[in-house]
Amino acid sequence: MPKSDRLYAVTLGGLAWTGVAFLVFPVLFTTVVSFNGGIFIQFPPESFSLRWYENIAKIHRIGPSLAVSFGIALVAGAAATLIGVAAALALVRHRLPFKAGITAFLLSPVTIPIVAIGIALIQFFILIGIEFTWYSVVIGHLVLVIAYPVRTLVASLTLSNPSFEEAAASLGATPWRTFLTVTLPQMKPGLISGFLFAFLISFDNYPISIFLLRGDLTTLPIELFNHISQNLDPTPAAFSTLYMCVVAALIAVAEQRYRIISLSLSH
Amino acid sequence: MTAGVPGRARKRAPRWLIALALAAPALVFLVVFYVVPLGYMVAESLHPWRGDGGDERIVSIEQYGKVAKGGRTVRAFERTVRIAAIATAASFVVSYPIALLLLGAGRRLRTSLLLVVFVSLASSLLVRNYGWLVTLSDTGPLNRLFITLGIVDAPVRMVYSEGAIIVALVHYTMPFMILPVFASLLRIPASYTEAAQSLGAGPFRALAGIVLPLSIPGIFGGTLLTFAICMSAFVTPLMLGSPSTSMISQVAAEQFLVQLNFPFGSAVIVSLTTATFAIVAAYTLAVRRVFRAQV
Amino acid sequence: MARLEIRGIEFAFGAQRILHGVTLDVSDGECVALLGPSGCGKTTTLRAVAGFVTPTAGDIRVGGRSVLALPPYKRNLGLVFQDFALFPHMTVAENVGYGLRMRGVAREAERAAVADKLRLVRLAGMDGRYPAELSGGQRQRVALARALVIEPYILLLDEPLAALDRKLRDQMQVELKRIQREAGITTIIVTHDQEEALSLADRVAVMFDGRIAEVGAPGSLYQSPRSLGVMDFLGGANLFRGTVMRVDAGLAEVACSEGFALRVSGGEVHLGTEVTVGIRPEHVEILAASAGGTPNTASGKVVEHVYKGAHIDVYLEIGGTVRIASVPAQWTAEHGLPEIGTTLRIAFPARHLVMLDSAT
Repeated sequence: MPKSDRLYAVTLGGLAWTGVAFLVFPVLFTTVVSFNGGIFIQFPPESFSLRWYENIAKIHRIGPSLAVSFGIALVAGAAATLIGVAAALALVRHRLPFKAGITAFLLSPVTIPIVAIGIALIQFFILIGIEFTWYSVVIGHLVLVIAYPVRTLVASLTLSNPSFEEAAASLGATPWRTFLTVTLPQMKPGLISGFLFAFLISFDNYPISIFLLRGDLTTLPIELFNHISQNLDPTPAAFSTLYMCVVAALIAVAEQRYRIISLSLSH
Repeated sequence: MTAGVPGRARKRAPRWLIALALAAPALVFLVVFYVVPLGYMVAESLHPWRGDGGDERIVSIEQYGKVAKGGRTVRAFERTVRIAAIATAASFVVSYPIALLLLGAGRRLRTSLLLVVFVSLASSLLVRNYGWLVTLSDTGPLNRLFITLGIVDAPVRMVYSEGAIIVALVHYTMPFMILPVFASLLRIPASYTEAAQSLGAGPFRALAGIVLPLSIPGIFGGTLLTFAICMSAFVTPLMLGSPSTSMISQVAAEQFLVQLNFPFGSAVIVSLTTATFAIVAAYTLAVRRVFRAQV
Repeated sequence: MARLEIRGIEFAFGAQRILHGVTLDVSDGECVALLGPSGCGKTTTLRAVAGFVTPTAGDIRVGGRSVLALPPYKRNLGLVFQDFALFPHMTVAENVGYGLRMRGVAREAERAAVADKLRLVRLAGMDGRYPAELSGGQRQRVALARALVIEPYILLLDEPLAALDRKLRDQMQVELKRIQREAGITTIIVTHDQEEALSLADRVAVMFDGRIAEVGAPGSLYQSPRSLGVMDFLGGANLFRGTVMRVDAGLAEVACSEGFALRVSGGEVHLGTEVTVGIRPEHVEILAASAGGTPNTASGKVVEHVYKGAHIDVYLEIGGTVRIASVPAQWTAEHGLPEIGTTLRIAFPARHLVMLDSAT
């Protein structure tokens, strides 16, 4: 390889792989630390033990908070995806006035400060007298996560070919059946990745939940954060490791079957 | 079904009405639970606080006055803009080589790296920040490395500082920078860089003169998103900072949850949002002017 | 400018072998076209000369010196891409001057050279425009100017006219030929369009399956190719298989499987060999109905005729196989359109028959 080509490859490779290491190492360190026998965060670990994985079960209110977070994420994710499908259809396949403005509006909750959503809703709920329950948290999360399925579904629809729908119509399919049998299957990457991200973002959310939770209600991020602030043990490391494994598995499967990564690169 | 005979024509609703009906759930929901509450929040910021002894029925901008004069708030603003700017620049510097690596990578390496980036994107913010608590901890790997190498005798306190916040923000925003930049790089036809090479440009000159300018749309999108995320940062400074490194979102949250001073807290958040938009708008105009409307 | 020697280059992409030993010499100032169907390896050969593909065997020499070790940016070759590859963020002048800037040419000298080349391609005054503002033909010419201004050893054109529409393509063919002649530069054109190759090049190299099948001047390659593949690829071809029955004073008599005899010039063949004989559709003659059974004639039944503008293709069934005779439109004006189903006497004049090497 000519000299300048080699210099370029080495420089670029060095910088890039350093960046990749930067991206990956904190998670690796966390995993290593989670197996520590001692009671502190220690690197290298003083001994090997699985006790912190067992200790996850002893995090304050881990059971209820996990259930609540999971439930909220499921509902918010599903609702966001359903609403997103309808909105994406309107934006891409039908003639909607002010299309660019409406799209920007639907995506805007991601660009404003997250705490603004929580703060605005807390005041609003007090004003109109809504009780702070499970549902109010769902509403708060939904405001934030609607943007994700909308974005991925619009991308999915834009990439798919309207000629298929026209062909189906010419063969006698009603709009509803065309939607079910032709349009929806083509939107799968957008559906899967939209729902996945809406779910994960809701599941992990702290800034909106902190404002809208009352009384007995608590979510996993809240309990986890409390544990981190009050304890120095590596239990959160064990939890993080498990969590990352699950997310990595989900993304890998979604990518393999639905090609969600190339979808996000297409626009 | 009788063949060859078209069905009886039925009156169909106009296209725009169907479109509106489909978009309605999203629009209505956001108007009710997003626009209205935000509007109410702005209204809330426009009168004095009962806790100060003020009359909440009058309209005044005194809260914004307090934002501008309040030492702590102003310092938090400066700190927030500074942290956001540094983190955005650093995130770009770290991410661009990775995007270039992705561009030149073979299929298998590219897929693996993209998976890593995507998993980072989808991961919990808490988990990722905790990873930095571990890495930067007094008894963690970095300190262990410094001591082993003899750079220091005792662990260096790195967590709960502005530096830790910046590092964690860079780490968090890297996927938001890598993906748009990479998408932009993919759109540059290979023939452009080959043409540059055939005309005598070595790899560095082709990068500087052809690839970098043509990837500006992606760079612009990535930096914009990163900056907005950093300006709004809340969980990251909460976990990795200290009271003396508070960012604006924390100040606002404190006003609501601790002081229960809703008017002032609202004013702080409105100021943050306005400031972010103003900087973003200025940035957009500047980029458009310099790069001849490529974005 | 310089001469180019391609010596037995081979290239494989993974398990697939793309080039099987390509050898070609291009003289100083000559224009050679690499012609062939898609997948034949012509573009790979061009990219090997340019330096974007490294052959696994063989050598490439420019002006007598091997360039294989040189990266593309050190070979001093002018490349014109199929999509023109004009840098969208630079003006026409900046595009054309790019190669000069890479060579550290002074600003004034660059401006003069750019102006000169823009004049050559008849785009004077367009310096300040951006590629997006130009038409396809104009972009083509800017790409050419950009490649020529660096005074390369060799000019490489990859499907230069493929992106243009029909009318523009005809105009640009003339332009391209003029520019190449005026610049006097050694040129290689890669194309799948035979008309382009035949009209632009001094010599045409036809490639199939990673090898050069035959090289020759356009006229001789078209009229009397040696290889079966070339005959079939360039223009239409009527092919007859048969056995050599008699060789007499340089003329071989071939008994065709359809049942008639053809007299072909081609004295090197031996009695009893299986040969393929070809003739172009436009050389097939339709005789008056009364013509007798002289050598090189046969009877054919009209099964179809297709109007092609300047000529008409008449499809005739001769001895079980359909052949094509192309008659100029003028002919039908005098004799009327041959009706489907009628039987005609066809002649295959010996001077237009070609003995083909069926191995290639």
